[in-house]
Amino acid sequence: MPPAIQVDDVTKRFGSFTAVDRVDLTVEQGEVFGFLGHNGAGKSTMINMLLDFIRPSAGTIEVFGNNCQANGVEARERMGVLPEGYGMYDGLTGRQHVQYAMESKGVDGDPLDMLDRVGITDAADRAADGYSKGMAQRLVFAMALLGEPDLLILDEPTSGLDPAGARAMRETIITENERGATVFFSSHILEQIEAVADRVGIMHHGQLVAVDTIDGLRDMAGGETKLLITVDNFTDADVDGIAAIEGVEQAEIGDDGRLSVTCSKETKMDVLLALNRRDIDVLDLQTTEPSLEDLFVEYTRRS
Amino acid sequence: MNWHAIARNDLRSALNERGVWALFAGFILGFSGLAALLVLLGNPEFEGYLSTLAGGVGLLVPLAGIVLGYEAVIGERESGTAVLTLSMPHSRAGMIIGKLVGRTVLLTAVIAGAALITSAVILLTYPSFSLTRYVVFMLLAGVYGTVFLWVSAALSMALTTSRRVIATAFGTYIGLTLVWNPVISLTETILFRGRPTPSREPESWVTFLTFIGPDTSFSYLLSQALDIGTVPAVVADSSATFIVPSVAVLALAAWAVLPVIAGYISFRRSDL
Repeated sequence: MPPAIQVDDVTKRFGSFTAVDRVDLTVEQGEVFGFLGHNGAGKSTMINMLLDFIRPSAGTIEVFGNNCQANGVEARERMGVLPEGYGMYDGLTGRQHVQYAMESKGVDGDPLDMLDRVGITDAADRAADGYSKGMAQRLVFAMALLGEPDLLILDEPTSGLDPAGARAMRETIITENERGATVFFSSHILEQIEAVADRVGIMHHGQLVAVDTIDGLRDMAGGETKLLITVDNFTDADVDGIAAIEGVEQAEIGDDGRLSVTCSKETKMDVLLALNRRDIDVLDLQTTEPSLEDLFVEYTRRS
Repeated sequence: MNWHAIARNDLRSALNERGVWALFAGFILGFSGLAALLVLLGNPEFEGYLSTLAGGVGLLVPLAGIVLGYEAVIGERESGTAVLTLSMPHSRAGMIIGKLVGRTVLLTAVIAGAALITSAVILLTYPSFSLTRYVVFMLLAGVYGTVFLWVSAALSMALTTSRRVIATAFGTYIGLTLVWNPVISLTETILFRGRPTPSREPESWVTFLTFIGPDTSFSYLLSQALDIGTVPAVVADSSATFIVPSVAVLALAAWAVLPVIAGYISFRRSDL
């Protein structure tokens, strides 16, 4: 079983600018893969090479074993695509756009069913060049879903969508994945990727700086937890005592008068028990887990 | 290759373009207007109508071809609809074939529609009408327009901004219809200035280049098929063996196809 996407040592240069720099990536069939990075990190360049809009300066890209450049049509026969930077055909309605996609992919059926699925049935007979960004995004998503593709390629799928629309799209992504589709989608918003992706790749300055599961990335971010504890009374000796507990990295009194403890996840209870032993009442407790956001920021701050 | 989906979509989209309808109206006005004008001048004759129309068609139909062709690919690249089309299982060759077929059908429909309406005017007001000659005339006009449509579509494939496409397409139009023959005779004059010409027969390359110019090829075919229009003297008076209809047809075909091949190669290579 060939991987859904196989990228081997791919580089894309535009003149002296290197947009994608020696990227290796394998996306297995059945995965939901999130492609994370700031705008301009090289995500769309990578996707545009998958679609053969642009050609790699070096390296090869395959989709289900079909070379995306030499056998682009075969590769795209397995894909449903929500690309970036698309426009609508002047004067054609939403229904006619879906009809065009059906004819192009050789799919029979009623265009309205697809429009229904993305919730723009009411706009079916309006010219699509007058659609809002969110409606256009739904329309092209509907065109991408046609014919039950084995691989969905979605470039910033939730851009222009309101929160409800973004949630509906995430749900559709999950449904499609349960049907058996591999999903590859890019975003610069971490939460959206976190919500649905099995694995995440982080692009930065054209390089793929990390590929891992969400949990793996979280572990990499460090197991550090921060406790903010409001206590009734305590002394400096108590603070030193807490700091002395094994697994506690730092304990101090914050500006707000709260006790701030940085420790490993497993040590949380030890800290609370120690406070209890010292007859210090805990009035309030707040914990902050390390977020992927922190990791993302850390990865993209380097270089 | 699923090019017919592209052709069909192109036609569907064209029906919403005001410019296309304006072009159609222009053709009706031109064809029927001329017919009506001859009626107003008195004694309308079908043959007189065809001969007069031949001059106008030689300039206006290619212009229509240029107008319908120049946006074919660059328009889709700039509006982003090419991204939609090529993210589906279409090859770039399929896209070009679909666009060429769509636009050619459109030009043919515009000419045929205007011709049909005008034929009613002629049938009602003229003493005679030859359907065969009328159809052959319009067919040749359609072929001639298609040549220019394909040339401008080829530029639309090869160049990367619509401004450049428009400039070169209209430059090509003027070059091929108005400038081609004068440039050849000017070149001949410069090359042979002061040298006495031994015979009245011009150099054969002069005859050949004049003949394969699309304007002359078209008017030659028109004169051969219907005995109307004017053919440049260099060709009309020539005894050269290559002055035959098949060479004229071949020349027109080459004008249409070779630029498209070059345009396709350039489009296939370039980043979208």
